[in-house]
Amino acid sequence: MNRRQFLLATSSGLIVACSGGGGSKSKPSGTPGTLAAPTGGVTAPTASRPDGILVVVEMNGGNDALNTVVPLVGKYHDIRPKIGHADDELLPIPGTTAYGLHPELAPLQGLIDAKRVTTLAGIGFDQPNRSHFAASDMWWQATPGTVSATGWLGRGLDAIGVTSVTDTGGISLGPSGTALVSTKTKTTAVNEAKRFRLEPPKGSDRDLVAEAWAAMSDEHADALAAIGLFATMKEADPSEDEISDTTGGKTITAQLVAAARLIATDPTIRTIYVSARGFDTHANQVKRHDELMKDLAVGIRTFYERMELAKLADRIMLITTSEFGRRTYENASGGTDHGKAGALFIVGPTATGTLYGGLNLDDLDDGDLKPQIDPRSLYAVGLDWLGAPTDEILAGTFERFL
Amino acid sequence: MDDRSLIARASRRLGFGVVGGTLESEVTAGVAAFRTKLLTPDTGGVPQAPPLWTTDATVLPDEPNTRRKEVTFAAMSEWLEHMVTSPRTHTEWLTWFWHGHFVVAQPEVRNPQFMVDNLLLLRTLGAGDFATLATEVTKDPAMLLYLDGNDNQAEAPNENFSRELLELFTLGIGNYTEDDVDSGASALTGWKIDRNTRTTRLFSDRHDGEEQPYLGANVDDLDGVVKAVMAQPAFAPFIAGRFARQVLGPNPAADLVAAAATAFTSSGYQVSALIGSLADSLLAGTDSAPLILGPVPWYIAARRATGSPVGKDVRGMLNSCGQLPWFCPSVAGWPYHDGWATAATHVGRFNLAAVVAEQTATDSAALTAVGADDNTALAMALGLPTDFSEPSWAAITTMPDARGRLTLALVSPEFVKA
Repeated sequence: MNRRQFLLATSSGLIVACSGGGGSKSKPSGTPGTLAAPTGGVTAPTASRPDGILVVVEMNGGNDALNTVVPLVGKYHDIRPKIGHADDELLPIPGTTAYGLHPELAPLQGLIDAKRVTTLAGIGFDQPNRSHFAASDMWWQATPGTVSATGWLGRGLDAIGVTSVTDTGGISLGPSGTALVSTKTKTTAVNEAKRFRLEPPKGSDRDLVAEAWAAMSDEHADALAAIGLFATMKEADPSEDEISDTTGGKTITAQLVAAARLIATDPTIRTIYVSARGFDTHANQVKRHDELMKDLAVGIRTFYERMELAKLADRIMLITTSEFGRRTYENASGGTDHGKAGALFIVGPTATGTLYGGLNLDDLDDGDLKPQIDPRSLYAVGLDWLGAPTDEILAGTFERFL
Repeated sequence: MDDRSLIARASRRLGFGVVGGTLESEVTAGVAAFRTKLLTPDTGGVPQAPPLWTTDATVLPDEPNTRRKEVTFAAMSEWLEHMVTSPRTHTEWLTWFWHGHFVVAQPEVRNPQFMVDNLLLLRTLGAGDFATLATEVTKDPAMLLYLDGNDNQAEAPNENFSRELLELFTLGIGNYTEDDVDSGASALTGWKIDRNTRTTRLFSDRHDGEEQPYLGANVDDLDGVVKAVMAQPAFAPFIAGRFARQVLGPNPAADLVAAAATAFTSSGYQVSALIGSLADSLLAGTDSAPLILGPVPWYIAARRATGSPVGKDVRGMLNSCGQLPWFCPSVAGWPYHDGWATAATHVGRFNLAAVVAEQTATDSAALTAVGADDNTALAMALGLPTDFSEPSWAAITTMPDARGRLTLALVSPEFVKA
């Protein structure tokens, strides 16, 4: 379980920050990440837009780095004799011949060619944890070594002072939206957009019962406001021939389509946090991971196509997260157990189109990839884009990808 | 606290609430009689629940998914109805607790009969000694499939179960090392389902019989693993804590959790002794913050309180609430308390309450009380420890129609929290 408040954070301050909130003085040291520099040590903020929108896609369960970003030289095939990819099926990454991408990421080719995809190889906190839950806590709080009641993105929203027309600063679609937990910004969590409406008992006046329900508690009132937003979003759909085929798209694609519709309906929404399970591939990994990568790629492609049609694509950065990468060595079940460093993507206007970090199979930590990029460098790109005081929120200065 | 509050609170923390309209007679009989009937139904003369699943729910791997779904959902519906109608509500509550603790989920297990077998195991052994429960759960077909024990073999161990056994099922994070996870995985290699007999056995050619250092002991098999785990000082407090947050509510008093852990230990790890200790604290009137019920316990309580039969399929609605039995989203179990305070769950509860209210009989205790325009009468009819708050009652009485009122009563903070 998320073990923390995965909830409807209301403006009434349902959740109280205990550390790391905007303006908090509890920063541990302020030292930059101790990990190898991804960028030659550039710490100046990346680009920002006052109307920037950040979309996060969480691959819950621990995405397998080594089969997502595959080393073309070295021990890869010795380590992955059964579940490894053949070299010739990999997608090339601009600017490097040392790695290739999972073949099912092919729907991203257009974005890759346009230098709108940055690949981060070997990302993770420098005290990694192989527990899903301890690792997830580090990722959503982004305060390793201390406990924060707020999420990194929630703190960002609090700092920029969201004034959305719908009064909703962040929306989480899917099972895990704790990164959005904030002290004052209103956020909404919805599992399934299509069922998100009130169905009163026969004979009850629809408006009257909805009003009475909202009058009963602030949480009901916030939910009713969110229902209003979701009810209007259907009007913003493009026609089928304007967008690529979404065959192979599953949960992530469905959530990203909902995200695109919500943003097109209300472009003052600042963040949408999409999450999907299924990345915990302990057994029979190949088919499952193929499907997951395809879902991710189809989802991101259709999302940006929809945003292009709505003339909003230039305002939107998308980043992916996952609580850890998996063990390098495959187990006897055709899968991989929990590991350490992962591989993630940045998509959008400030992506550079190349690869940072690396997956070094000659220097493992107990069979795991060692982290080379601090996740807060990834978050910094997103927080910069929103115009948030990034260093304050992350309690330190982290290198950017430039 | 008065007897009404004590009894109503305990009925919703250790069971799925009283049957609608019966709170008054429970109060007349007194707290002691209530405790006996709830926790020791044999002594209290409570009839046995009817048997669950008298039909075979086996769906073979080569049968179509549509049939697997159909059988799964039929069995799940039977379970839900059993939770509503069983006269032994604490037994059903405890089974539900263990389902959220030793999690298994249908998408990984697939064969619905394995889900049924798993639940019968939890139901039969849930109140007894923990060693037997943990041993049987470890080699249960559903668990072997859910956490990959079925694939765990000597040549390349799969550590999925071994990790969660320590982190989530028995000790909690910080009370074991990564080496313990590795050793546990090796000691548990070789347990596998024999699909012909639908039972599990140890396949010796897949088992690593070498002794492994594990939690300060040396182990080479399942019994050794369970013994070593239960010998840890963190074990009894961990299990007591998992129960306490349900029975005593959020942030339970440390001394009461410690007392429950002691009762558990000195009984030789009988689960009923642990629960008995917590129940005594609760019935002695200990202070406790209200607990937000999960959608399933809340729905079952609403069905019991209203007597509503609900012919309609509610699976989609429970899923929208985020709590479909057998489809637990994570091995760590369901969200807890304010983990349920999401927009999605609030909306889902409203829609379920509307269905329950629609089907509630006009002459039920609940709808009779709604018609009488009497706050206390409605709260008593629904088995609540206190009357509705002013804002809740004001909202409820906005509605001119009885079923609109009942819908709102069921989603009020007074009914949603226990």
